[in-house]
Amino acid sequence: MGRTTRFGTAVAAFAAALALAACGSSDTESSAAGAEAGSSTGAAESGAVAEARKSVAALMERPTTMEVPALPSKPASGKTLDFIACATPTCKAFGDLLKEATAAVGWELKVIQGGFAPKDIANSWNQVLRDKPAGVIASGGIPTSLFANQLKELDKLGIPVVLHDQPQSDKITGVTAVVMSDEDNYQYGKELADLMLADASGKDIHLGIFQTQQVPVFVNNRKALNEMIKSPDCEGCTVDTFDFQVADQGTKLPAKVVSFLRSHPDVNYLYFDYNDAVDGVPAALQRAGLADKVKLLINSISTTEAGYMRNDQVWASSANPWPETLWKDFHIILAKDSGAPLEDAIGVKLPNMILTKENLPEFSGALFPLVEDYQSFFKKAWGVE
Amino acid sequence: MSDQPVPAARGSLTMAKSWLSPRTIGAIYVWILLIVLFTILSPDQFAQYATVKQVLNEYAVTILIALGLLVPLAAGLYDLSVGSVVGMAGIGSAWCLAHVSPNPWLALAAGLGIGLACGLVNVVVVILMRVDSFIGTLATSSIFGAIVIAISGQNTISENVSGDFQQFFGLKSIAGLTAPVGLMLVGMLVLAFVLEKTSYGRRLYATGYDDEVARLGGVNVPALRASTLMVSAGFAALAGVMVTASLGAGDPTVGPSFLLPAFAAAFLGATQFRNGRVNPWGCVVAGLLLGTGDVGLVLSGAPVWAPSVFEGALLILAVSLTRASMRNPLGRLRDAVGRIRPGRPDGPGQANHPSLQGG
Repeated sequence: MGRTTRFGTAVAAFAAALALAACGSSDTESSAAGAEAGSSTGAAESGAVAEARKSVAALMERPTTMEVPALPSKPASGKTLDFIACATPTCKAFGDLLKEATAAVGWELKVIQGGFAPKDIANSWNQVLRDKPAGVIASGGIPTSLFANQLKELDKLGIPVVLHDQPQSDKITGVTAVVMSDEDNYQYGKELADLMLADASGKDIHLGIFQTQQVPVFVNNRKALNEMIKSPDCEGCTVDTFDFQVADQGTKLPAKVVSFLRSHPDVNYLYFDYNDAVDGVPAALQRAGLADKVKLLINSISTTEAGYMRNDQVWASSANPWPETLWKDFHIILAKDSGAPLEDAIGVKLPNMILTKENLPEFSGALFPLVEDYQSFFKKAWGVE
Repeated sequence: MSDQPVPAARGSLTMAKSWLSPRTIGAIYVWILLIVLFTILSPDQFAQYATVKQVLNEYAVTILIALGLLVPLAAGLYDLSVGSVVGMAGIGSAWCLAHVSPNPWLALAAGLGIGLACGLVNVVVVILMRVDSFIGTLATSSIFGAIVIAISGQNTISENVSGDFQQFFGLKSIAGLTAPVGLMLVGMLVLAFVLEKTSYGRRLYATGYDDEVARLGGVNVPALRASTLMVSAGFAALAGVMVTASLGAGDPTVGPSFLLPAFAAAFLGATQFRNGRVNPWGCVVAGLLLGTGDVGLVLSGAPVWAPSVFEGALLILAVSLTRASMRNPLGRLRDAVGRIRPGRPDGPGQANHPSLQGG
């Protein structure tokens, strides 16, 4: 091939790729809702806003109690629990929480590194099959189709499996229970929706949603946010979405957030699917002179984001009660192991709270409980306190 | 060649044509094309100083790592550990802030010290133990990654990071440009001087072209190559500290993700200005070109996969615009991989000198 031909081919191929990239159908869509409602719906709007304010006020208080049904007998000690952690720092902290729970009844905890890549997911579940533990807990909200065969094998072996942050619709053979599922995540989204509604008095909320398709369960949080924006209660409100890759968090994502905000100058609230996704974003916004333009909202919180919140860089977070959730996961395993009714264990209600700078508790570890002495409620139910 | 003297004006014209040829500065043309395209697509957002600031601020760290990579590449070595060194230095500086002192300069020194220690490990493995640099630095990268997990417990470290440290190295700016931008520019100028104006630089390139010839010419090849691994580790360490300052936390997961973009900038940059030879000017242009594409695509509402398509297409375009096989830096990668195939007589132990073909 001659030089001119090669040059021409290369330029043509690049132009085609660029055109495809630039002109491909954007995942960002906008929806102006409530415009038709106009001023005639003023009474309904104020009612919805008042209701949201009431709900938010209640959720700003830190809960103090939990109801955990007692097991029929003290759990037998000396067993092993396998925990498959996902690849984010928050998931690592889950292992630390479970270690304390298992130690309380004399069980061993084995933490297995999972991940988001299908190969890593399969490897971690194959490791569980080799271990044959007394129970399995897994985090990460990964589609169960990626480890369906292993779940069936575990089912045959009678090993209970508890998943959290998992879509209920994704539940298949071999899963004993799904904790923090669709309803819980919808609730977390609703809490933040109410907070925005109250903050903006039901008007002109222009929400940007940074979402990842890699963790399907978060669709429920976004569903609640979208419903609020599109309802007649929110006048002149719009929503725009941006899809990101989990691997971009802390590296490329902050720059993309800046680009998104520059291309959507009307956005005044920005929501992230999960807490680690916001890492590095506040500094990028400050460098770009956009820090005062938006209020950042996140789903769940850990040490880094708590620091952002204390510095007024993150406005609010739904407080996923991770310690209580992990202990509830283990409570279900213990209930199954001791023959207690599973419905009671699965029905343990998890506490809720909205966090802002004003009510953010002091905490030193990666995660913190909403109910300060949550362990005592579980230990009492297990007969070990 | 004719003995007839070439008229001065004709000579200058020939030189200018050579300099302006797409084969020499193809990326600049692509860059101009992109700027025009994105200005048309996003007229209200793209053609602003904010875009310049954003591209420089957000891509300076990647370019800083890529600049460090150039030095071992020039000497015929690959340093695949730079991503993990970023992680080591970043988490090390955060750990220092959280457990030793909130003094930002001490944290910077700690990060640099840890990075240079990583470089020293690379020297031991690649130079003293004579493990192929491609494999050796891949192995040390894995070890460094494990140490990051051990230090951090796979948790982010944020205590004291968001104070003076973040202000100094992540937020403080002049004309909206932060510390990493300054470091990138200084790094580019220093490397340009060292590589192009000093005997050290000439020895580096000579070693990269053919280490045996360089050795016969009096170059202490092992010492020279050892120094290059220390330089790349130093740049990566500096970048790691800047990443931690930018995030406001030491994050154990972010370092390795800088490896591929940094190599892309280094390889893409090698296709510019110097006919296939790695050079700091090309590296910075390549990094900014990649950044411009990323920013422009998001501003114009492109879908999530668009930047990856763009980066891949750009790399192909830039490489095909150069004299493909003669001094193509990717040819060195091909050579190195070819050499480490099992059963080859010039196996891993001999693969430390991936010389440039036709150079």
